[in-house]
Amino acid sequence: MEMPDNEFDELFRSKLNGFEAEPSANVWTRINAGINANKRRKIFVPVLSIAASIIVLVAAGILFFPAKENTTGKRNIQNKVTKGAGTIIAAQKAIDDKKPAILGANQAVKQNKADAHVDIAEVARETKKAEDTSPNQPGETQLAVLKDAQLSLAPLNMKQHVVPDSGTVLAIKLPMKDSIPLVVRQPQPAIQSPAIANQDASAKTKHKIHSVGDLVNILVAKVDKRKDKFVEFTDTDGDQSTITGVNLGIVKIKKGE
Amino acid sequence: MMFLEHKYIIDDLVKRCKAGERKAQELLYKQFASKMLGVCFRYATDRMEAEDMLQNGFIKVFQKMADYRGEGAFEGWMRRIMVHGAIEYYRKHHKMMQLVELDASNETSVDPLAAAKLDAKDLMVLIQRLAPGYRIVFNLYAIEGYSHKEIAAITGISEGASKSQLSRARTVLREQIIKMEGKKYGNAG
Repeated sequence: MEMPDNEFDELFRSKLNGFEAEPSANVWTRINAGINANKRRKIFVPVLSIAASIIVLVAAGILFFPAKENTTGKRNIQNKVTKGAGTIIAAQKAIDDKKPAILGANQAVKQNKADAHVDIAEVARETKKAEDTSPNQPGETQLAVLKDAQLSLAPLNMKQHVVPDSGTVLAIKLPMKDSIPLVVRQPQPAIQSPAIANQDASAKTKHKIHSVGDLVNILVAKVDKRKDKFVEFTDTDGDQSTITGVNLGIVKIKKGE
Repeated sequence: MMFLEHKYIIDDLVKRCKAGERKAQELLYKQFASKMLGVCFRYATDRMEAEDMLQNGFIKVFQKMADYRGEGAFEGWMRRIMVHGAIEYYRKHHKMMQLVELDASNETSVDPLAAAKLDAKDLMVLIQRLAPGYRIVFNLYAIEGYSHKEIAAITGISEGASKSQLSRARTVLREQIIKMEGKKYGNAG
């Protein structure tokens, strides 16, 4: 005598549907822990997002602020460069490194910020020694060249200490012998009128990557096809770039071109 | 009258659970734990697995509490979560739905009168001994009352596979019942 499928199923259903069993005592403890873990995760998510936004802000700060500070710092250094001692010490290092003159000098200045801050008094002392040991004639010509350079630097907003006091200028004499080509080359871009220099700079921006700013410009240009980019950097002091344009759609900031 | 009172208590507990009240959650658990463990037992191999399923199921119940809008009985809603959780458990543990080929040679017949004498515990043991694939399909079809189409949707196997798993599950169960009866008669004789 065969039992039909539906009756067979019904046998199980009737006997097992109301089946009950007392769970072990620790099951509720585990469930409770599970619910709490979930709640903690829910609280943790906003904490994470707050942390993330703080990181973003700090990153933005690091990206924006030092760029400005470096610019002014750079100017100071360049001023000192025209003053004398800094350039020469730095330039000699650059020559040692056999790097291209301008870039090398800049880098050397960066590397030797301490050297750039050579005490004037010390410089003066050196000057005396120099006067004792070296003939005056070649030094004078170099001084003339240097003055030329300084004059042409003047239009580039290098107003501070453009014309050095006699002590500093004299101080240049001694180390200058080795580095005449550099001193002459250094101000070369400055000899052009400011307008041309400016054009040069923008041309550079388009074709060469000299700084982080250029890199960002290129990357932004790839993504952002608008005329005013999301962020725009411009070379201001040779290899130093500052933000000159921000376009967030609603908010647009653009510094004068 | 009793039923109405019970329903009122459950509705109140559900409301307080939705508000996140810890005490209400514990009361709700105590109210349904034994019944739901009974459901999990049918899908599990042993008590340990069943209690794992119960634990996961209740955590899900409390998480999804807001989704319960009071349409239909709360117990049925909870039961569905337990069943789906039990199937999920097998999917996670890679035990799901492996087809066990059987020799279709033995034609077995079960004496209905003898079978009716088997108690719930015996039947539970028989179900727990089935291969997971058979057990899930037999539970869903014979006890929960799902159609093969619904089973296919829940488990991810085809309707045909569901049908063949069910018939194989029945065959295995019949064989086991006959064995069990034989033992009982043997003991008695």
